Amino acid sequence: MKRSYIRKVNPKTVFFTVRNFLKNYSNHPVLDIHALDISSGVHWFEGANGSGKSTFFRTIAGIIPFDGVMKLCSTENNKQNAVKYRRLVNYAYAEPKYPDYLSGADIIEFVNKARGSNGKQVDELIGRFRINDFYENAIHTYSSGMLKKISLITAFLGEPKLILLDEPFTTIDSQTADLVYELINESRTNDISFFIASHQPLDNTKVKTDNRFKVAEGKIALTK
Amino acid sequence: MYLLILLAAFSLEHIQLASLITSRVELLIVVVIIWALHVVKTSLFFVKIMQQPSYEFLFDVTLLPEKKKWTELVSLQISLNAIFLSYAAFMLFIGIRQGNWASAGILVIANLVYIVLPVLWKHKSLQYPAAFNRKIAFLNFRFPQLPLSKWFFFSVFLLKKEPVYLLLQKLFAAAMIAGIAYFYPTDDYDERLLKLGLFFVASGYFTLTQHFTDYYNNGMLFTRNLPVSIERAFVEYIVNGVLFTLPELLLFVSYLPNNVSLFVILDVYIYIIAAAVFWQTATFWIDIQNTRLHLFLFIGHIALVIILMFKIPLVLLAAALLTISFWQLKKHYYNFEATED
Repeated sequence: MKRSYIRKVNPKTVFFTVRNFLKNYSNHPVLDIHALDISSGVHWFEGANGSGKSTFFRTIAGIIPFDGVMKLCSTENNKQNAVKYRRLVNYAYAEPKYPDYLSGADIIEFVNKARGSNGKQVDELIGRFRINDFYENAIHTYSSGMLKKISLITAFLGEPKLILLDEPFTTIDSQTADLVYELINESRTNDISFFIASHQPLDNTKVKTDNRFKVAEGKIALTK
Repeated sequence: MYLLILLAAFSLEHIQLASLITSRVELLIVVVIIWALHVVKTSLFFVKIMQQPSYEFLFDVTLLPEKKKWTELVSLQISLNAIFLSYAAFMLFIGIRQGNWASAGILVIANLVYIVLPVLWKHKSLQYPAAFNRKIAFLNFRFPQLPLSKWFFFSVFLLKKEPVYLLLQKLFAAAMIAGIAYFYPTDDYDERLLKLGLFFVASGYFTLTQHFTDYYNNGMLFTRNLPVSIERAFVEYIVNGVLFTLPELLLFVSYLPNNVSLFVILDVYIYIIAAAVFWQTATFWIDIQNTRLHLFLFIGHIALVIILMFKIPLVLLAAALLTISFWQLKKHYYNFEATED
């Protein structure tokens, strides 16, 4: 497999660094990135099904292991400063899976406490995502869109520097999609960066993306 | 494993135990009901496996020639029942020797029923795959949805998703505790018998790993993205262990004679909590399917039984288990590759 090329970014603006990254599943390499530097901002990762977008996002989120080094803001290392790093990196699943014997409220409260966010932030997001009617019900009663809203809410909790949104616009209604665009724009003014994996092109009239990365054949390459 | 534990636990008394059970039909019925629960448990496990897309190929067993198909199904059921079948054979031998023909008859009929009925059910279910997608009301019963603290997530998972396992595990623990309480006042081994009994209760927790793995892999993986330290996670596993072993503590305190000191109670209770913690953290560093590991664990248990006979406090073993658990968790937690169903 060919290795990804070194992406030249002004060292002063480097926000996220990947070095000697290798991810295998059953000895089959899925992603092999020699070096990748990403600046702060909003970045769109596009790629076909099975190209490795979700795998890449899950490794960044610390959910699955990998070989190599990932650093946020040059210092926070995924492995060496695991807790501090995770405080700064939030992740929303493409297809969230939560225990069906819990409620959305249980999940949000759990994440809220772990991330040390305040109740005001939770109340605001619950209101804006319009989940008041169902979030205290058991998760087994939820549709995929309702489940997605819980995952998106948890991604905006706390004080992250980077939010990873994996296919954030699938399964949700257009009103909620507009809200997600709105939240991205609000958050970027607070110096929060976004990596967004999406099959569909992002709506340029609603959010300005700084870079576009193509994920294909085990590599990640800048296309814009 | 349970059989081995039972055999080892009552190495001197288990013949008397089997004689007692076969001589009293009401006791034998209790044992037969426990076996029935085991059959229900393995049947639910079969349903769970067959509902997974990755095991859909198993439905092809219906395409086999009739003789081969039935042989496969009967072999499968015998292997699932093996844990009590061998002990049933032993009890049957005792029953016949004592001339307890009613007990012998019950043993034969019950074990035949526990093979034939599940085989017929499995055969019918395999012919109609849609049956596996229907929800089983028993599996999906709901408690009222109350706000739930994270400390209770695993306990609620066991109550709602693995009620049969929980019931069987607690029955096993209750039988062991009642057994040692019954033998204690007459036994020359003094407190060593109590400790051995609880040691074997804790050995039964090895199955906790599989259930904790199911709990963790199916819905809790989002927690790996949270800023939770290993120390905090470890405390959570200790709380899980305390909640899981509460029934044992209650049974232990209520069953035992008054002359058992608080130190002994603490000694064994700390050990069983440590064992529950150890088998939870094993999710991250032990391949529970590894048969060589089973042999290693068995030999390890025998060694520990011998050590316990020299009056080594269980709390020392507890400290060793907790240390190993924490050290291994720290080493493996971030390298753990979860597999979602």
